[in-house]
Amino acid sequence: MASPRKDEIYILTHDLGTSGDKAVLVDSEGNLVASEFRPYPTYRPRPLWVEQCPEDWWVAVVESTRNILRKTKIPPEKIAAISFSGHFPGCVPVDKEGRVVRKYVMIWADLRAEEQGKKLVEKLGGYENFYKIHGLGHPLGMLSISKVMWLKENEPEVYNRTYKFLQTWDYIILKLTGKFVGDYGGASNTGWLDVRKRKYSEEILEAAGIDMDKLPDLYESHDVVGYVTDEAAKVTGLKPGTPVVAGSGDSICAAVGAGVVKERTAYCYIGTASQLAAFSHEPILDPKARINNFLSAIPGKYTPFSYISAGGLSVDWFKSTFLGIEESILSNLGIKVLDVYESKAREVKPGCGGLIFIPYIAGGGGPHWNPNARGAFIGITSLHTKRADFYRAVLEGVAFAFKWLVEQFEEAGIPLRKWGEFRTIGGGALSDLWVQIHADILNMKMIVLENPQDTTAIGAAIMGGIGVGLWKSYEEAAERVVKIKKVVEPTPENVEIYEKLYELFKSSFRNLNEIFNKLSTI
Amino acid sequence: MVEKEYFLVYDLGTSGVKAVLFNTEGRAIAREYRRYNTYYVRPQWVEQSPEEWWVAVVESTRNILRKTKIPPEKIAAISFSGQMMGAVPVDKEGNLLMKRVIIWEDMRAVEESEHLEKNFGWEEFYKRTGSGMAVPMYPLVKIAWIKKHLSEIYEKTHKFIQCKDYIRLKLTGKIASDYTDASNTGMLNIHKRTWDEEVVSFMGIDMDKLPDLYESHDVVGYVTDEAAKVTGLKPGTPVVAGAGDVPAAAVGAGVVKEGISYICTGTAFWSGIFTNSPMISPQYRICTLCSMIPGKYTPHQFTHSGSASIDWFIEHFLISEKEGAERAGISIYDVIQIKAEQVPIGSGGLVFLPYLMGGGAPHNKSYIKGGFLNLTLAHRKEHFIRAIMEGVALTMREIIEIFREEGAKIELIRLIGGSAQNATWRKIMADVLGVELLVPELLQEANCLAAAVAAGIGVGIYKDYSIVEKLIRDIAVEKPDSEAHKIYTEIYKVYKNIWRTLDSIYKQLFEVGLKYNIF
Repeated sequence: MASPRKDEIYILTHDLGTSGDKAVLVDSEGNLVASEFRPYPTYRPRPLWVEQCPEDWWVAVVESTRNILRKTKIPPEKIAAISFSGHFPGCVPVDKEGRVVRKYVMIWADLRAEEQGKKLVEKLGGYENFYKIHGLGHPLGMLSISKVMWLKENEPEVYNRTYKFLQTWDYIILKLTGKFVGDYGGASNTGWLDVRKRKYSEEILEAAGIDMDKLPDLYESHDVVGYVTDEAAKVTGLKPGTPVVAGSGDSICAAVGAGVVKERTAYCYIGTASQLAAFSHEPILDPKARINNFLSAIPGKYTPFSYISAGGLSVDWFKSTFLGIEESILSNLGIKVLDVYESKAREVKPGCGGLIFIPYIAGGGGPHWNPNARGAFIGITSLHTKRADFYRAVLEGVAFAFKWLVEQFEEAGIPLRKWGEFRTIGGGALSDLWVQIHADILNMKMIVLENPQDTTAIGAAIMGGIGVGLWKSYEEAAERVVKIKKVVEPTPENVEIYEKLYELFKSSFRNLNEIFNKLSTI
Repeated sequence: MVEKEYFLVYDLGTSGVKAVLFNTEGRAIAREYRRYNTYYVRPQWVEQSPEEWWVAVVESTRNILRKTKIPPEKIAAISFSGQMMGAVPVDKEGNLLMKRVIIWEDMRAVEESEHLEKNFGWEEFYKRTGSGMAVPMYPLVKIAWIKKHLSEIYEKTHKFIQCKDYIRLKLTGKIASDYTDASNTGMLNIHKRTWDEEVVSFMGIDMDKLPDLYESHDVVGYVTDEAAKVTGLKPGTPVVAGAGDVPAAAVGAGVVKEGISYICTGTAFWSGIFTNSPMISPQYRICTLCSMIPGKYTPHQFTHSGSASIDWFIEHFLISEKEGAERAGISIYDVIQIKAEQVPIGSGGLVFLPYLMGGGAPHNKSYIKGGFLNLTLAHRKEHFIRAIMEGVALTMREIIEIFREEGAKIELIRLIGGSAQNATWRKIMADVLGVELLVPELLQEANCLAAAVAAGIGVGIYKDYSIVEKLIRDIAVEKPDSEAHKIYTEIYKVYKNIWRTLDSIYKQLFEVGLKYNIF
């Protein structure tokens, strides 16, 4: 972290993640000056139900803001703008007075509304008709529109009392400024936006039975949508009148923070989920590819996006399931168990002695989206399959699944391998081995960025900076702010074997799919 | 005249010999174990020293006599259960011609096997011999290897015999073998119960280098003065032919008539039945062995990684738990049993394929390896433990169903071997199989009991092998739960097709692995 300077101005960003709020203070050169994390709980009252409490978000934002100001001793008037990144798609019902109508709200991971999504698809005459307007490949239950339909059907009083349905960070903007707003990027992940026309789709909303009035006005991510009110200033310690920009969803902010703001750029995010996003002038509306077409923060541009749910999550699962005891023993010695396994896995040859990991342990992701998909280890032998082989197989399996996303993009017309490189971000970018495995499997250059875990904050800061005139354009800002840590080239001798194994990875999955589907019925 | 009250049995295993003294009631009254070495000379080469076998036999004999204070003249007869599928070359005088000999695990005779499979034809070979295991395991190709690579030894060899035959030779001076062992060499015509001249001479082996065959209970010879001196046995004690360990286990588990089957739960798990004629199935590669009962057969199917699957998991994933359990004074196997019991039927959807050595029943394709399928974030270590037990049990069900498909009636299954003590696993097996499982007292020594019975028949104390049904003492019955069986049957319907669905993947994975040297 850089240290605060006297004459500097700062942008305060809040990243409302699934596990908590991370406030990051960024200076005008894009240096991270300070950060504060406040967790909030997630509630899973029933299978498929995943909820959070917007009041918890606000408390976390207040506390992290107060703490960051107190610790850095930066006078609040030095904060030039406040910007946001947040998890999405959600639906936060608020009334005219700005109060949440339902204490617990559905977050992105909530999949209870699958049935409502199906009804909508039926009304629209099939998925293709829906997709060519909204351009999203997610499971239907994930979309904000299905969630609002669920509310209308099951809790009509909540629906009726709702003035606006907001996204996560919109709610914080409302608390800070009193304004009911949305941003284009956020709206592009809901199901109710016509992605080509950049406006709410009357056809879809009518089919869903949702009043367009209940959706907020839309702004660009860098638009100043309001100013910190006196009341909000009092609780947060911010200066009244500080400009607040619209911000956007986390993947859209990450794209900006990774410099995916010009032609031939794409990112590989190795986080809890493993995500791919690219820059595009046009939406990629191939119903077979089912790519998610987010609107870029750059007006009129797009950020085609796909993912698998269990990227780093596979590693976390492996660690907690198979290395839990070792982790607690080693942590007493001041050693991280994954550092140990990283070096053990380095000794394992590519291919792990014929062991393949299929990483869909949290269900399907792109490009197949089979909800019955599960994970697998195949090719175990008692002669040479050790725990380190399993660990490396997990790293390889996630990278194989990522390559499948790459192929999906290429088939849909985005020639990623011709571009030749990925901006590499997320916690996984800190593992040299994992990045190398990605480079070898993709046969592409991996450009590892500085602060790979704070890309969303950097992206949000760029939006804030543009909003208050610090930078003229996204390209200029990215040029100044996005910094490369190192470039990892593929190892030529590993490329061929990984190509063969990748083909087997795909055919394994195809064959297993039949088994997964049958097992899901028992 | 002295009452002949005991039988002395040698159980010649892979890791050592166990001398067991039986009384005529079928009770094992004393045991002495001695280890011997296994030499892993290079990949695929596995050897043992017959001299070490003999030293271990001598020591265990002297000890058992000393400790029990039983006068050697009370031993009515000596018998054997022995590891099979070896090649022990001896000359006319009974001298050993190789210091270290090839044992069952050795897989060096790959070229010879390919020659046989390609040019003689695997199916033709199998139909004649009933020998369905991986071909490199059979003495037929091991002897051909010796002929090619150690031709001087081959030339000097009078007979190629098996492990127990060598010990009998040391005790009696007689060179011989028995039908059960011979039926697992790849050289016996299983239908005619004679050495198969076409197969044997195709591999360039001289017929006269194969030993004369006896029934397991035939008295082949008597303890010589010289052997008596070193062992402490009485000169002149009758020595019967004995049997290979697998056919012996079958008889010791009561598989002496149709309808009775058994499952042996050792490192490998296997199942065998009783038939009047060989069971030949090129599709499933069922191994038909000669039963100890003259003229009868005992078809078998093997899965290589039974408790070996659990042991592999312990070795790699439960290291800390094992240490912790030991510090707390309990066995890791108790921990496993408890952990597995906490997990519901079906292990939360997690599925295990137990082909950790490659191959084994039901497919016997060595490129098909193990796997864990249908993984989710909810799966913890205990799910894996139970999934392993269920996967092995489901594989045993496949084996049993194949026997049925080939016409066998299976009304009763007796469970022997170490894992029969694991109450959770036992319950899982009963529920998966949907058949009552009987658990006898002698879990680890069913083969020894059968050898003792052969000794008893040989010296006229028992009339025939049916006596074994009276001698077996069942100590537990595991009854299947009909609800659980219903669920497992649903799982089984999917499970039995999994290896078929993945066959081509495993095959390609193996080929890619070989090509790029990733193993």
